[in-house]
Amino acid sequence: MKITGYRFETYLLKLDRPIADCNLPSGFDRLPGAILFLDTDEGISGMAPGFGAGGIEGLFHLVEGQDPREVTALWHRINDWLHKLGNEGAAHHAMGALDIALWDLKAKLAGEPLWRTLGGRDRRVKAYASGLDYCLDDEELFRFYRRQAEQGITGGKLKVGLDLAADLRRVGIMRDALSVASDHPELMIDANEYWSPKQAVRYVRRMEREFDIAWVEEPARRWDYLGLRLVSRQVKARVATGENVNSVAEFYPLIANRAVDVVNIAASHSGITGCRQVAHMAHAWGLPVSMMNCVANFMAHLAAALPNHIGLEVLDCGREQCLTCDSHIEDGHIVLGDTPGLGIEVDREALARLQADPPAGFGQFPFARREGAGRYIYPLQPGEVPWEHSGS
Amino acid sequence: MKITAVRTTELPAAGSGVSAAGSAGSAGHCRVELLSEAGLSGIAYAPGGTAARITALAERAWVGADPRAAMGLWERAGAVLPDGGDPATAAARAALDIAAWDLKARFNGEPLWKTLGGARPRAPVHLGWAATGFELAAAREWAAVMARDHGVHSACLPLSADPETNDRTVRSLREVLGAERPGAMLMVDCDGSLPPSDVIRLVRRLERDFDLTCVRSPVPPQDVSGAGRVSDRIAAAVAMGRGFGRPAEFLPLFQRYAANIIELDVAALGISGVIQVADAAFGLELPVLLTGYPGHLPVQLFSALPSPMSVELRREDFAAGAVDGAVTFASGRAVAGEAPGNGLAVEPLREGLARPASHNGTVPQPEQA
Repeated sequence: MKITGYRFETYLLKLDRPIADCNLPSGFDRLPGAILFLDTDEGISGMAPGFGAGGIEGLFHLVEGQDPREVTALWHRINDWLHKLGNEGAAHHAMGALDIALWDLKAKLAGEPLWRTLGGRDRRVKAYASGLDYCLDDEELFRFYRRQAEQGITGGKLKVGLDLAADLRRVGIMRDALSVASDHPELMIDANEYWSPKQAVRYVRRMEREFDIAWVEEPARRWDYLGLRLVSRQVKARVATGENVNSVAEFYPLIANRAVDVVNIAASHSGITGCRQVAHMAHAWGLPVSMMNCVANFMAHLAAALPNHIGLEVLDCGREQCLTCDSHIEDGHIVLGDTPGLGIEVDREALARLQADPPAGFGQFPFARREGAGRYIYPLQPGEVPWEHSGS
Repeated sequence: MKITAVRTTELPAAGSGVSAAGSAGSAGHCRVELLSEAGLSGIAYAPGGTAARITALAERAWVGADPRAAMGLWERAGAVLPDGGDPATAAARAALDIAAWDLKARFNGEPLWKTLGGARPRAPVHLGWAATGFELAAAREWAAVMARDHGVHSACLPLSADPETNDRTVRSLREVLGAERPGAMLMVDCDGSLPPSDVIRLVRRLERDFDLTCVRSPVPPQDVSGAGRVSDRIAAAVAMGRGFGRPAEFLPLFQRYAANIIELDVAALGISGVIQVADAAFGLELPVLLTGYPGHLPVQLFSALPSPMSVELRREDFAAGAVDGAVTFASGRAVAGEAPGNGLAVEPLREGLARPASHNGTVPQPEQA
């Protein structure tokens, strides 16, 4: 069994609804997509869905001709290769994509779903709703979280950061929407690194007068372990962070300095192998982990096999237009199926349509950090968002 | 596929004793077999006298379950044990976990190292002896065989309270092993039996003449600040973790940066625990040492872990009646076999000889430059 080649598909899709955070309140509704396929001499292929896997050509020689079942050894081979260049940028994304495709292959070759290959016992993974909702008006906001609550989801994470009064109102809307699933829904907020640590303390404390905030995500810069720890010590909510770092090595200062209370983990932490390392490190330090969103919720396979996972972020924004996946949401959980591997298939006709006729839309991902970040609040401008705020 | 039953067999004290505290005992061991409806069995070895505990724990957490959920089953067992249980219970949990992973690999028709995602391991190894019953002449004899026939030049020697004895032991074994060559590691093992100040004094004295790679268990397991104190005052690395059966037990070491090397005791952690703690250690850039186990099982794990340093080969695992693990040795490395499962045999090895390179029909490739 040997890896013989790779193929790469890219496309552009228009989401079911726009998504945004406080760095780009107006949001965007078009997203680039990419799928990496790893082929073998036995006709079975592994796949990795996601975005931005350019750079594969620089790393493929490290896996070509190798047995795909030796996935963690190959991860280390790549990691050692990137010693000087660093696990950064395009190489970082490519490494992650290769690792994910290898795990998909390994599970397919074993004839089992990936959650089983990873040693998981329970196919159900707790989910929470995340609107990426800064550009949804109040009514759309309510409808989104109510739809999630009707699937049994009891937690929600709201984008905040620029207008305290409006954010207080919208946390209330989210809570009301989730109330059909729980008398005490979990309420999380996410500032996407816009604030300084002290801004975060003032903002969150004010919110905590009215709501029981379960966690505040990225209240300060991703590397600012002193600042993150300061926030954690001065508010009641837990501090969640980590989505924007690359590997377990970059979690070292955050975890060792007690700067994080909930470790956000993701496929972008150097694939499934790297993500698992982070989760296990967090577990040794007594910290829970929360899986970030991903297309088709495929990282639920890893989440199912982790000892300390508390919730996977579900966006439900229509990224799976050319994919079918063997999982569904029921009673507030992602329920994984038994299809071997990730359980994801490509709808070739849908993919071809997207490639032949890229949809029109607005906005762009990735986008820049907003003016004033970490220093002052650059307030919302008229028309920047469709909901009432101090600058309306 | 489901686990249908557990079978335990207490075996007499022959050459190979398993101790969850890491020091090899002579108390015999208990063979554990998880039987499945697929007709396959998973095998492990636990300390002698643990059969009843193993059976009780297996019936709570493993029997009736799918062994492919190996890590989840180990977690579930941990959840039902108050504070992780005593060392014997932790060892029982570890043994059942090892057997479940064996089943998982056999079901896949592949060796355990492949199931874990590793490439065929060629693990650096070092010789190790039990703290009690060490006899220099016999140790020299075995070390000479391992150095001459298998290229093993690294060893971990017991540290005594007498500096003259230590000097004699280290000098003698260094000579017979050829341990001055590049890549060879000389370690000493305190087994947590001496006060930190004595360890510092004894090790510093040795460090005048010898380059010690590490000092294992310089203090009792709970004395985290003592471990840190020793590490601060000697050149050698401090290795801690022997006997720890849960990831949480390592937290004080991580928090205080009190160990420079993490010891992973497969007999206490099982494979699932080893994977978790190895990842955690990797996050802090700490290498890991794998302590000995019957049949040299830790060799199977080596290439699947992020920062492995060496695997311990215990003298008693080469004695008559030791467990066969289908591991061969060449050029100072241990090479795992390719048969499905973890390589542990049901019947012990009869002759007690160091395994020749062609035992399992394959010859390990020479090390690449």
